[in-house]
Amino acid sequence: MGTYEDEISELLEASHRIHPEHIVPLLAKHLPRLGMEDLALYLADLEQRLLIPIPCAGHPARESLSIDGTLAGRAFRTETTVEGLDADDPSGTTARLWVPLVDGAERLGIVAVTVDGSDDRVRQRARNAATIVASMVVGKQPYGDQLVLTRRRKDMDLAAELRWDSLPPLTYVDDRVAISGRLEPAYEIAGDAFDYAINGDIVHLAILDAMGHGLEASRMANLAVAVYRNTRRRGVSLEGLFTSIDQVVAAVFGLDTFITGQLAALNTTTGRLRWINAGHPRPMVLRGTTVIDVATEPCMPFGLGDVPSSISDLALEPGDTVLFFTDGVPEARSENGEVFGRPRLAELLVRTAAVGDPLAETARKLCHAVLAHQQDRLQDDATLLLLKWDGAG
Amino acid sequence: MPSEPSPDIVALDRTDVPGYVDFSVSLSVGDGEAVVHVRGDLDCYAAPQLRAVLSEVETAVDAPRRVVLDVGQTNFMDSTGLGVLVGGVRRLRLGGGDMVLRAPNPSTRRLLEITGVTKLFEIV
Repeated sequence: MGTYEDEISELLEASHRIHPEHIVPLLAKHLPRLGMEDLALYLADLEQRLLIPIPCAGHPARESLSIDGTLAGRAFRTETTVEGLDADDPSGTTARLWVPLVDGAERLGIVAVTVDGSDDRVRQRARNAATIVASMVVGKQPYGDQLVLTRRRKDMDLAAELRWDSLPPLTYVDDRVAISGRLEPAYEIAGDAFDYAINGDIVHLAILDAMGHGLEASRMANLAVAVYRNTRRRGVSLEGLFTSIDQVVAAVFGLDTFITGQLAALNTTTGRLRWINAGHPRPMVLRGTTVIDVATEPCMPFGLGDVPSSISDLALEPGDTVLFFTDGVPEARSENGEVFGRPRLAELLVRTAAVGDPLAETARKLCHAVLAHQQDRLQDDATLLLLKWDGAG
Repeated sequence: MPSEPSPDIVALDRTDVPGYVDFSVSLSVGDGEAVVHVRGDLDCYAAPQLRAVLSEVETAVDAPRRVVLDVGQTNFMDSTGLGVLVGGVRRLRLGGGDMVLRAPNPSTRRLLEITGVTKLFEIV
């Protein structure tokens, strides 16, 4: 056995030229040399309810674990390592570690390993290993379908396949901002979309809802996202972004179609948030434990030839969280026809954010509450997008 | 021309699905004006029916210049339904005509306001 540095170097070198299906065997070979035995690698399903083991020939089959109510799930939810003692070990030093598998701030799943808990170095080493595994999973995923399929619990609609391919990573966090979004129903999303990019000290962000259902709505949403990115990359103003999307939607999809949405820009140095509301449900801002209802004068949706007459403007305070959402959230109906509604959403936002979870967990909880309200049977796409500003630091 | 249905006929139109009301569109023309009556939920299933009627009005040789779209008996409208209204008014205006909305109920008005398309329609 070489030194820790030698072993890590060897693992990193080996990771360059492997097939995605060989990630688990590669780790199973290398991690024991780093003091980590009995590796299990789980990915969260698209709805973030289960941790599903990546299947691997020649390795023991494992059960999926619930994200709610398990130690592994706790590691996922809190984004911290959770440790359990091995009941079969009389010496009491053998420990099972559940380490979050996180790429940047995007939660992918969990790495579970068994270690000698009396060795203080092993916990940090397990976190280092998880960092390497996360970049392997993200880097190798496009070269095969196994990792994509591991995260799916049922077949995906064509419309949703198109949409997922065009989504950015669902979560981003740096010193100044955190962004996290959720879209449901995960296997049937169509017209809902969001996108973001951080360029210098500006966070560009868009939430979109293409009218209608199915493939047509999905195609419209994807086209609008492509126009947004293309125009944004040419350094165009918010008004210019609006006009570009508006014109392309009108030209390609005709007189009967439109997309509602919001285009926002946050200056992470000053906290100034500016946005155009194109016929979309207005966002809410959580400041401390109060939701500020921001009045916005909507212009018409994209595709109807409007010219935005006003840009909404708000000075955020450090710690403020802005919630953007599509109409499928407040209009979600329970079995007896009761709508979810803005007041309930605002109250839930206050209560959920007060727990102090990572932003991605807040987004997950909000989304699951909306799903639970309608017994997990959605009539329309529902998208939640959180933007938190922590100050210029 | 079909006459205005009486309320008890509306009740008879209900299918076995609770809360479901058959969707129907009726058209009456006179005096250079067409009145289109919409009854029932204007959603993605009903939208093609209304689109077909509006398209007939738009393309008729003796097309009336003004269309009154009566949505007083519509309790729910989704984005596809709204799309038909939006497409209708834009197409009529391209041909020198116009369309106005009659009697939208509070939930329809709210949809028009949230989406900012109130500025596209005259409401009578």
